[in-house]
Amino acid sequence: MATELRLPLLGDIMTEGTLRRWLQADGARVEAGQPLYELETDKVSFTVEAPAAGVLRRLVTEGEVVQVGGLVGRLEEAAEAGPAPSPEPVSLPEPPVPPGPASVEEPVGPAPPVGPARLRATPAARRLARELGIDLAALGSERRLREADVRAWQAASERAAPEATAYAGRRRAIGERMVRSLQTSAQVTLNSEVRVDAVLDMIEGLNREWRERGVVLTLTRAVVKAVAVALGDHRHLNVRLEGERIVPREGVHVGVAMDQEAGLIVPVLHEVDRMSLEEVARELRELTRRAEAGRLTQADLEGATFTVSSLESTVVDAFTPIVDPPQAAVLGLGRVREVAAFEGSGVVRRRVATLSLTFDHRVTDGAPAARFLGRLADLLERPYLLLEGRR
Amino acid sequence: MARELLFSRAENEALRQEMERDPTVILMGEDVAGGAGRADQGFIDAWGGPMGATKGLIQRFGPERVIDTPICEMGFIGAAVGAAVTGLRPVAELMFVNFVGVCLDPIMNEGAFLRYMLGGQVSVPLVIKTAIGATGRAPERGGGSAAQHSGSMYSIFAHVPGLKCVAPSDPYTAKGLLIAAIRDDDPVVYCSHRQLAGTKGEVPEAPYTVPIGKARTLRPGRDVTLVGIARMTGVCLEAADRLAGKGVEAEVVDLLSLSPLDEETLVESVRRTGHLVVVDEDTPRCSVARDVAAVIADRAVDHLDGPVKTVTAPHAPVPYSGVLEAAYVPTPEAVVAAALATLRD
Repeated sequence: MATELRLPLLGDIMTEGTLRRWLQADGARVEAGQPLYELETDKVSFTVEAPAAGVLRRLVTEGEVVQVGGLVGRLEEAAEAGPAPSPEPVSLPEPPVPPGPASVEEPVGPAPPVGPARLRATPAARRLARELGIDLAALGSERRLREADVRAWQAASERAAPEATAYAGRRRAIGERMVRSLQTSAQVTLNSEVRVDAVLDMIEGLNREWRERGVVLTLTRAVVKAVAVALGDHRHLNVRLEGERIVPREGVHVGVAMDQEAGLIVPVLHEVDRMSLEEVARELRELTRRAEAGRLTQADLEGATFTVSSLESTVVDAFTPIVDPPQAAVLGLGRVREVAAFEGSGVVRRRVATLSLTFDHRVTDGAPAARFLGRLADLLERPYLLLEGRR
Repeated sequence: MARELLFSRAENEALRQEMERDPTVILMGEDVAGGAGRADQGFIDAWGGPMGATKGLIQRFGPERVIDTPICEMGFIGAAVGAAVTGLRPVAELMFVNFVGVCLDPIMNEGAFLRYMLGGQVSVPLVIKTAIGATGRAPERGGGSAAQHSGSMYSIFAHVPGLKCVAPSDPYTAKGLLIAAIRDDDPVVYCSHRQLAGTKGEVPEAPYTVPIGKARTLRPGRDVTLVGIARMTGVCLEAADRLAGKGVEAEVVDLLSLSPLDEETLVESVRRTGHLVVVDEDTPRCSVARDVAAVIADRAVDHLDGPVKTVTAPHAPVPYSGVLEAAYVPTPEAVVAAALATLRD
């Protein structure tokens, strides 16, 4: 009895996926639980494991787009796949072909890109590539890549003539979601300039303490923690609108918007209300790493009750983030700026950042939303409040 | 008008001014007066040590405070530790750093650790002043001082917790660091490069200190950081001049303090330049140069845009032959080559 391999459904909006890479050769004998192939959707890359033991028969080639539920292959029992007469020539199950992406009888195009282990780049080049969202593999070089190479590549790609691209995949998924959000809810954005001197000082101090533990706190991460604390006192924003009812959500799960080359992705930090500031910093760093490595799972993308969208590292002062339904609100964070401010009768230098809260006016009103924003400002101006134990 | 002094005279001035200021400062060691320099034997102050740094001090302060010792480092360094613990501020001269082999116990186990062994009840305000470095004698003049009298070896001191270790690079830092070492309440090893003794530079007359634990940036640059120790700082400056001719702007950091190490200045510089070359006349294994490289690998890794290079002596004792000695000590050419390698490899 053969086991049919059908493309799994990995989330409510998934309709199709790309079989990016086979991890077992055609004809290889695999055990249940062994990785079979890499599946890529508009949101995630996912390794699909063998549901049973058997001999793999591939039915689609690498790079092919398959509808959810479509047949990609079969796991046959050894007897079926044995050397007995067979309508089509198959390779013998003995000896098993070593696992690998290439199979001899399948003519392949250009060799798959070499893995990151073979790519040579200086740490400075890697840092800059990370900051600019550039995949170093795209630069491909025989010698070690330097910071200047990344800059040159960035400059060249900015100069390159724009070409039409397909409105599809992740781009289209983001687009349709945003349009649906704006068409179906009543969004209002409130802006508030907040003093961040104290929280930035605290971040600097904590990072010195935490360096050995590999924990890195940023303003965005501190804001995620502040959101969780503030939502504890302002439950009216931690809700979802379901038809005729406004339903409170269990726990605080914060989606954190991240910019990637392929477009926006919003992994979710779950149960932030149960985390200390250090745990938030550590877990968000881990989530960022997984997102950068394309190793997010479906669970990482689901269940957000609130979203934080940070443009802290850009030149943007303030903006109007769009609520991700069915959530009730989203918080935007602008860059830190220095301003001159009155203190008594004197003028002092002060660091500020603008918080932009967009909320759905169907579920709450301006005044309570403003109070929530005020509470956030208070938490950032008295950041020791973020150090209280788990809430 | 700025006054110029020889490096060895700057040290002499530092010692004289501190002995005038503080009667507890004493000087002891082999030939600090000059051979058997005693008035009752008819001659004093024959030469004031091999570099002449202590010349003239015995006439001013007498044999009570300027003590010529027998050739027994373990004995007089041990005595200096005892004097430091009991209220004096001795400057003990270890003529050449290689002789540390016979007196590491009083320097390390006693000098550096007594404060800790006795729960902080004592201070050991001791200075070990010692000569380091190869002779630089021209090959046509024959050989240098060879393996037993030309070492740098300060990494031994930098490795011992409780010891501070400084290495001036010019007359100004010589005077300032020696005064700072004498005023410090903990043992400080002051390393004086023999080839610097005859170099000249501006030195203020009034006493001043150069802080222990701080490096100084002698030349700003945005392309590569060259870190020099003692005489190698001058080698770095010369290399920086040559690099400028090739369109490379080198920043030169004069380390000055080998322990404590000024990590902040080093990290801040490499974060800007992305490239590091450490130049050290000492041998490379477990050296200050490699330690600086490790600090940068740890704290500035995301800013490194090329391999970290160290230019050091080979892992070999200093050779006698003048030709080999010249090949042994890092040169500006070697520093330029290392800088270009980290920039272009």
